Amino acid sequence: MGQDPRPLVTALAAVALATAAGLIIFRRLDLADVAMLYVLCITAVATRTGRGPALLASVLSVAALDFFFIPPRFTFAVQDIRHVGTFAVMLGVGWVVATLAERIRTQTRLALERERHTDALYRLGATLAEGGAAEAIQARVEAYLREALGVPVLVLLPDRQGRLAPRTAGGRSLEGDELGVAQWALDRATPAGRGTRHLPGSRGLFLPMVGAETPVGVLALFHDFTLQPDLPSGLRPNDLWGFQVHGDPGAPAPLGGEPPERGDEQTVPPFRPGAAEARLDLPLALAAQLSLALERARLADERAEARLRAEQEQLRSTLLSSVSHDLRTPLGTITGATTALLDPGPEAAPGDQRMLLLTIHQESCRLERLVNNLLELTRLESGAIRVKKEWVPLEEVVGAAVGRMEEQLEDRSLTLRLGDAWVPLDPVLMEQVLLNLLDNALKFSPPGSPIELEAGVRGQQAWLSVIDHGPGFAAGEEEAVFEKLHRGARSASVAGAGLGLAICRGIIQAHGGTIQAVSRPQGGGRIILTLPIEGVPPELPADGLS
Amino acid sequence: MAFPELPAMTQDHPLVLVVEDEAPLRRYLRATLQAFGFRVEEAATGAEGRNQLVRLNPDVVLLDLGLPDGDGLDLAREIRGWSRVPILVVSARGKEEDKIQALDLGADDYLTKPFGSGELVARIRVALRHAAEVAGSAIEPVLEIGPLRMDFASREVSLAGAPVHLSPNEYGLLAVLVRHAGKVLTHRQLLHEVWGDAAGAQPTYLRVYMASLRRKLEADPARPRLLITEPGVGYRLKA
Repeated sequence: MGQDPRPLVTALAAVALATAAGLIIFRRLDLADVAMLYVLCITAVATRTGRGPALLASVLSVAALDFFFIPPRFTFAVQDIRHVGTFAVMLGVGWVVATLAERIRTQTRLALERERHTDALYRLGATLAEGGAAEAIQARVEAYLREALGVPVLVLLPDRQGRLAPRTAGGRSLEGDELGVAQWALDRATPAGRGTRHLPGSRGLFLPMVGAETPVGVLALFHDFTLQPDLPSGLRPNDLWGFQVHGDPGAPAPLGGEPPERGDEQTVPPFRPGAAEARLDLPLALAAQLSLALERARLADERAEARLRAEQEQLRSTLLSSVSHDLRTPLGTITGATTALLDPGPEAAPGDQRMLLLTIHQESCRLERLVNNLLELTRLESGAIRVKKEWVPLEEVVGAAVGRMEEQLEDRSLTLRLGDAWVPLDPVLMEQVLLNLLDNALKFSPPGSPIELEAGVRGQQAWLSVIDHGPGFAAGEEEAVFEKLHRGARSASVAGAGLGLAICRGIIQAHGGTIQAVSRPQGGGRIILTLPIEGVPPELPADGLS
Repeated sequence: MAFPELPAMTQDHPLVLVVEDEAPLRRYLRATLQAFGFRVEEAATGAEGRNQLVRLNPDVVLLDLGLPDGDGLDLAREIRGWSRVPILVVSARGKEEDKIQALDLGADDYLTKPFGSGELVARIRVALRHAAEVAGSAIEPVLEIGPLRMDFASREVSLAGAPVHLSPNEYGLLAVLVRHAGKVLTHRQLLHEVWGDAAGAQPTYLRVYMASLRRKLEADPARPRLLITEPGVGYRLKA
């Protein structure tokens, strides 16, 4: 120690000050008072700096007292032998005060450290309490630990085969040999890397996080606590988890650090509380807490996955039964109609043939719609559909969809009320939504009844609604109509596997919008969707003479 | 690039080469096309199609993009390397990327399965007419499409006899659409034709001028009869 000269300068300055003050008061007061002044100076130095400067201040004080005040003054000679006793007392006081002050300072520092650790653990707990999947915890915890420990930290999670994958986060990446060391630490549930007995040549320190049964991950720290020069004394080499710590073997500061909850008795030497582990037990305790949370998250993931699988299984069978019904009905009609065409009875009327052909055509279109919807939904659910937003005038996207429906809309009056607005949306997917909404309105309203389509912009949202004059939605059904395979009371007589609105909702949600079904007080159903308007439309070129 | 002379077309009975792997669909196409006075030859694979094309020199090719032996797009690209024969691409729904790619490669139009016979025949006729125009290099100074009349010499446009005033960009866009009436043009093709390769030109420009054209030419811009949007692909002037 002692590279920093400031404490020694402080000691010198304090003694000089005390001497100056002593010279002033010496005319009027006693020699004992001057001695007290020096004791005060020693105490001050001891509390402000370390033990070394305090002891230096004691010696200097004795020397200064002797030189300036003890007769014969301005020599180091001592006339009265009793003054030697004063010197001894001053030195003794200096020693005791310095030792006590040093101890208080150490305890304060450790207490502060401990408070910081408790706070860190508490806040980690709060971070973990937010829950979520292991990956979400991972990112949150990394960010938190990076801040709390002030060093690059990576939380590494193994895959199902127990392998760690390269990871980059917070500007630090882990791959190659370093990843191998992390894997080693995970496989053996033993700390490894820098500052440990195992593979100390690596740059990172890898602390395995072990759950109730299996290792759940590795905490990688890129720094070295152990090489810090101002480590508090009290740790013996190899004392702790095999960390190589060099410090003063004397003066233990037993502040009762609890050993970490996890440990591997065979490979790890027993944990002995000391001052130094205050630095190390923070990452260790964090790793322990983290391992429990990660294991919890993993178990929750597994449970959720199992539940999802069961739900998907259930859905698949529902879908299958519903779809097979919807596939069979038109197929049956088509087959029947074609056999009638191929083998007309003797009494067949001339108009029958055309009627049968029309039936076949209609049923085929129905089949096509169903298959398209199924494909669309599958693509939506598998995430194969990516929304490519472009700025499009409402008029154009509505116009394209209405144009495609002209044939079906023939006997209906369709009223369009469109604001002059541009909206960022995926034109292909949005056409899909509008086709489904119009198809739905046609299906659930009596033949010949009017249909209305309105759209506009309100604030940062575009809205669009399709209104039919059918029976509307049954109470309580407004939310359920968007569920896949939902078949409302009103759909009993209508074909369709209840996919159209589910597709609409999927697409609208992928756009960041909302979709709602409402029954209008004056009768009829209304589906309203909103789309967020973010950003500004691109600038347009001036339409000058080109 | 020098293209071989187009065959002297049998005006009454143009030859359609159908490259399609599904036999039932081939059968339907043959029946329909023959009923409308076309001659039909079939190929079930891309390789077979390539051979037939060289051997028969058809007037129009109906090409399915989903062929068993490789990509229909590759065949389209290959054909465009040495022939100007009109290509009509047939593809499944939701494959906008493929359609755009085929059109940008030089395919003349596309049909989305399933398609009706009316639509099929109309598209083939448009393609044949364009091929004949290109072969004759006779760019008509005046074109009339329904109520729309466009005089390229005087740059005048009228709708049902009434003159319509268009900005330069609107005129440019409409001119391209009218010259390719009935045919779908991708965003890229339109941008290239109207703005050249000006940096920054994007589909938004098209949408802006398309909207103002509709306002000037359509009775109800939200239900266009003339300027049709092909979502995700481009625009078409209905012939």
